[in-house]
Amino acid sequence: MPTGRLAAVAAGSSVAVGLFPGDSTLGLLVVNGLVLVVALVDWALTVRPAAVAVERELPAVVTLGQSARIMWWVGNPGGRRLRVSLADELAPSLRAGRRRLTLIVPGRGRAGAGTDIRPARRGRFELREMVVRVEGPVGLMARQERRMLPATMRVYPQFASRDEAELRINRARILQIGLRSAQGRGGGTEFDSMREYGPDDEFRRIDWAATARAGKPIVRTYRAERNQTVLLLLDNGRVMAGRVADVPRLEHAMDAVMMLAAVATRLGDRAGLVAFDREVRAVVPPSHSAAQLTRVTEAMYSLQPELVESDYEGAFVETLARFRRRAMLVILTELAEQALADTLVPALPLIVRDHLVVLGSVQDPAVVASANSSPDSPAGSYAKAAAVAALEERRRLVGRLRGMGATVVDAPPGRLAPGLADAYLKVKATGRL
Amino acid sequence: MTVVGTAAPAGAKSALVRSLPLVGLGLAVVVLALLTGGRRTDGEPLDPRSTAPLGARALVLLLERFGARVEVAGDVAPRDTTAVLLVDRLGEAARTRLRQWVETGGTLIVADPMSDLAPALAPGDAGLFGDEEAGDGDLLRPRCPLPALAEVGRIEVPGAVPLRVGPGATGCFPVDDGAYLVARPMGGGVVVALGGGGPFVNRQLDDADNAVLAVSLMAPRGDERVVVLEPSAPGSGREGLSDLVSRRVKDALWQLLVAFGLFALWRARRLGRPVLEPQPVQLAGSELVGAVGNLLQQARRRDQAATMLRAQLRRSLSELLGLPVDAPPAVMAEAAAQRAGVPPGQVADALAPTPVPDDASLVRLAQLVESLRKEVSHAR
Repeated sequence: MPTGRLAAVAAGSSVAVGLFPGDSTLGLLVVNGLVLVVALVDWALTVRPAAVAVERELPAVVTLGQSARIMWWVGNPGGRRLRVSLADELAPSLRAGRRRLTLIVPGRGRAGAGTDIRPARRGRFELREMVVRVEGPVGLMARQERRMLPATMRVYPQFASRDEAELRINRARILQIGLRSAQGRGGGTEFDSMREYGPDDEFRRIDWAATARAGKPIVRTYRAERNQTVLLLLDNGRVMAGRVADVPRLEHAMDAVMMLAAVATRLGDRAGLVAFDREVRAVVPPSHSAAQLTRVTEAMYSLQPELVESDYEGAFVETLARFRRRAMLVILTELAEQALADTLVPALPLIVRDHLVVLGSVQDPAVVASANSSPDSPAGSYAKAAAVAALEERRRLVGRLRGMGATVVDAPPGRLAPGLADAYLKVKATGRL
Repeated sequence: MTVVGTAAPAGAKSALVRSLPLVGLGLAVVVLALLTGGRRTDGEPLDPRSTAPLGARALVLLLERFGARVEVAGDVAPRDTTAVLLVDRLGEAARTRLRQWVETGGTLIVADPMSDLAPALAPGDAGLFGDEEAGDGDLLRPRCPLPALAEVGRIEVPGAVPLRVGPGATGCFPVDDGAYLVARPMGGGVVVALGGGGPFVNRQLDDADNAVLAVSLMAPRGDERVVVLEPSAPGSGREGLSDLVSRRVKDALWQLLVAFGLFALWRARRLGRPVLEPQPVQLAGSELVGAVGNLLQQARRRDQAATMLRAQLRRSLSELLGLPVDAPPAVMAEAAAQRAGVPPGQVADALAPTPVPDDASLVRLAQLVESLRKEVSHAR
């Protein structure tokens, strides 16, 4: 293919054509013939793109909201300096600084350049090919080819509540090891160890048999139960597609999933995940391994809300068939009455009997603001009335679900994950699981 | 050995910004063409369509009054009997056609002394002011044997020049060595050349016997077909732009076209296809609530909206004041007055299930509900 330089040379030679001696169009033919010959020779001498070594360096995993760097390297096998242009298959939502670049590669040398990416959405990004264009020695002609260079980059969801999670884990541990006195009914119910009586210990905790054997007062210490199961049921259906605070509801729910998984596994409990819409999309069996947070994230990162009605009953059946132990079931969904009344509400009694059910949902601040607004136009007044009615409906649904024995956490964005973690910690502290 | 090269800078300007100068240039050309392209129709002297003082519309009307069929055209037709050439801007081809037409028997009146069809100018002073012999100042008398001019007395010819009377030609209105009017046969026809079109302009036509001269020359019988040859506008010749441009320039333009083709080929093959990716759903979570509000407004369900707002106030007050939700409005109003100092009438008004007559009332109700809610909750 021709290059811009060839076009420029052709344009410049119009002067030569105009000044060509003689009165016929011979000049046009002679000048173009010369340019054509030079261009053909240039094309023949152009290195084939397949002969150029092309590499791409990119991180396998990027977390949403963070930036990463992509590097491209071009190796020149020949002795002549090459001008190589590259175009990589970077999706727009990776927000790369550039995806096309031109490199001057010295003879038998290597040249590289990079750009920063800052993904705008999570998910799996498949990069297949790279287009390579090599210019000829004179730069009049170029050869262009596609090179298959498959790679995958995963963009994980943002764990916005990481700090909140650390805070709760530390607090719970402090309580556990007894650096501070336990609050509430706490102290746990599972036998932990025996130690010598201290002045602040309760009398009822004295183990008389051990005291008799040891000849000094010995108390039993207890700790919160471990190895309990927290199952996170993530709704991936249509109700989770609506955007709240500029991201889909699903993102808020994922934040909560990651926080609960982090807190539960770090406190010695087993956390698992079931993501579902009309069918089950992802299952991570409960485990208390340190890598569980990574596994849960890995299972979730490519989920996109499906525009279908979620099948709660099917998800419950699937979940209970796999995991029979009593567990804390955290259902992350949207409290939309018309969606839940037909599916979740009838299915709830099945699981409330044997499990501790917690429902988590994110409130829409736009609706709350509209309900609490003081409108100055008819449109605003009708909107306020609609928002008030929607909140009222939501309140009724929460009351109904609570009446059936479920715990409901309906919190604004950013507060859902901490609210659910607090609910979990409370359940642990009170030994309800 | 590894040598690290340099990366060329990436072009950052968008295509739109780059094409702006071209678009601007195109617009400028169009505006210029519109401003300069229109032909002026009233200002040309001796224009047979112009009614300006120096136009010749009166001549056409005069001839028509005397029975001639006058046509204003750019060329003669075989059926025409008389052609009048007031201003000669004919191309070579048109002039040749005119000569051929005269030779087939036509009468041509040329009022442009600079025309190739007129005889050469008489030697001496170019100016011609009058018939000195008759002592008439600017006026001329025929003094010639042409029967057609028998009825013409004196004519006024400002700014005209004398023509040389060649062999075989007849000169009338003599002055010095020449004559104002020279008639000479050409083939089967005759060419009458005048030393200027001054007598035929609108302003001068009714001076002296100018009109008689016009009718005597152009419509003596009354059934002639006269064609007044229109002074053609500049640029209306048969030579196009391409005839005027030299071959070298044309070759250079062809070469630029070749360059443009190469440019197009270069730009046509892009470096890497656009990358497609699935677009996420862009639907606000509050969309449904907003839609319900719009529907209420379009259906004018003011009372329904008012009921919703009152229910909110009732529930908020019952929570804040510790009263049952279905407590009578009077009880709520009293409790609110005691706790928060809200006028009891306001609460009772807001809670009363009265119809809402218009949107303004609904806005007032919504504002009242919100202010009451805030006052009571802040008073707690």
